[in-house]
Amino acid sequence: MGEKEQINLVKELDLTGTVCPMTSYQARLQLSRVNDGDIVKITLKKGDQVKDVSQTIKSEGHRVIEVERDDANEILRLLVRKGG
Amino acid sequence: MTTKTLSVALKTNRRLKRYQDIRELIGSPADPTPLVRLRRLSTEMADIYLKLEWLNPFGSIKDRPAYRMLKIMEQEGLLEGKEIVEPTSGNTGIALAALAAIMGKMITVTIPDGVPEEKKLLLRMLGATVYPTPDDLCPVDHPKDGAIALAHSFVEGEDTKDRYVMPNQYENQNNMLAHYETTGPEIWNQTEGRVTHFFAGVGTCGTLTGVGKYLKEQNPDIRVIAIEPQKNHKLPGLKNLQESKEPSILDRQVVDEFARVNDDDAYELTKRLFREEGLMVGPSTGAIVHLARKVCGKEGGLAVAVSPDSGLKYTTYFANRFGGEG
Repeated sequence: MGEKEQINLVKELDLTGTVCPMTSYQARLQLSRVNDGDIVKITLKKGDQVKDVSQTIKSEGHRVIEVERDDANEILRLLVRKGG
Repeated sequence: MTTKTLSVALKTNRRLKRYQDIRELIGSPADPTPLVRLRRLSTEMADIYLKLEWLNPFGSIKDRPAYRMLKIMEQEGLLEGKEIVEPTSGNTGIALAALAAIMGKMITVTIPDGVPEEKKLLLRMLGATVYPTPDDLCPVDHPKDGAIALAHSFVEGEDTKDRYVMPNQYENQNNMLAHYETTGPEIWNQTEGRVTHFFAGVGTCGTLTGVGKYLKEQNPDIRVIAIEPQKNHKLPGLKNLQESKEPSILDRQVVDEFARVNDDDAYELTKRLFREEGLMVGPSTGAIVHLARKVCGKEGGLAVAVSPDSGLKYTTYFANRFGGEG
């Protein structure tokens, strides 16, 4: 993670205990509550919800700037910048 | 009036009764919702009667399945220590929220974004936590059913599944049974067995299946017609089965015909019901009556059409459609 992203990381969202579409709902909701340029870290279980969350992020005009894979725990951590 | 006559009247005449619990006002064969003839909008061939389900205590036909579903869940101990969650276009949520308030239970409802603000406000007034949900929230797995999918995620997610319980009106047989045991017998009794056609909208399909099943058991010749809206419709409470998942409680064996209605026709008929019959109904009623007139104009008989709710929750919709004309 670069220094610029560290400065803007404003929220961490653990969605490993939720299923689609609660994952998309919470991602959308929490991203609506931060400012443009802020970064939200979203942790998800691997599976179909990743596609839905990714599509939600894109359709809302945000951007995934980094993906960290944790294969041992079968999770993904997405760094998302609000507003692209 | 003698004391004895008054005593009998108090027990049998709804208008004279004192009720101990508002739930007693939910429609039942002993105390049915009214059946009112359309004086101007019946056809030359057929009398059309409207069953005024908005005279149930919480304002819609959904009072019936909501009451039965929660009653059975309570009897089975399923509500103990849990919060209720349900996907709803509004009326089921209102009924469930009112009943939950009476029972001292908490409730969350997921509701499509397009539902009128009036309904969302009512839910919050009743103490419900409301999650307005875009239809396309889950475009990959649940196109057009975002609210239903979100409610399911409360009872399926590891973090929340032990805290929530869902009546699940789309798959709960008690939805259909509420109508089989109350709405159906009421219609049969109120028409003295002379009903020839029954019209109801496609939503959860509890009314269609429950009433259809009951009426067909009394007389297999009764025609049961389902009213389906167009795709991308603006008729809350109804569902187009090409864009929404078919409810598992729908029994197609008891439905003789699925008839499609467009928004324009539905809203025009709604306006006519206001202006020509003095019936302040919701837009789904307009859809149902439009098709009832079309079918009964050719087939004749004694038709019963369901009026699920009143127009008072749809002023925003009416304003958007009719503008200053009202």
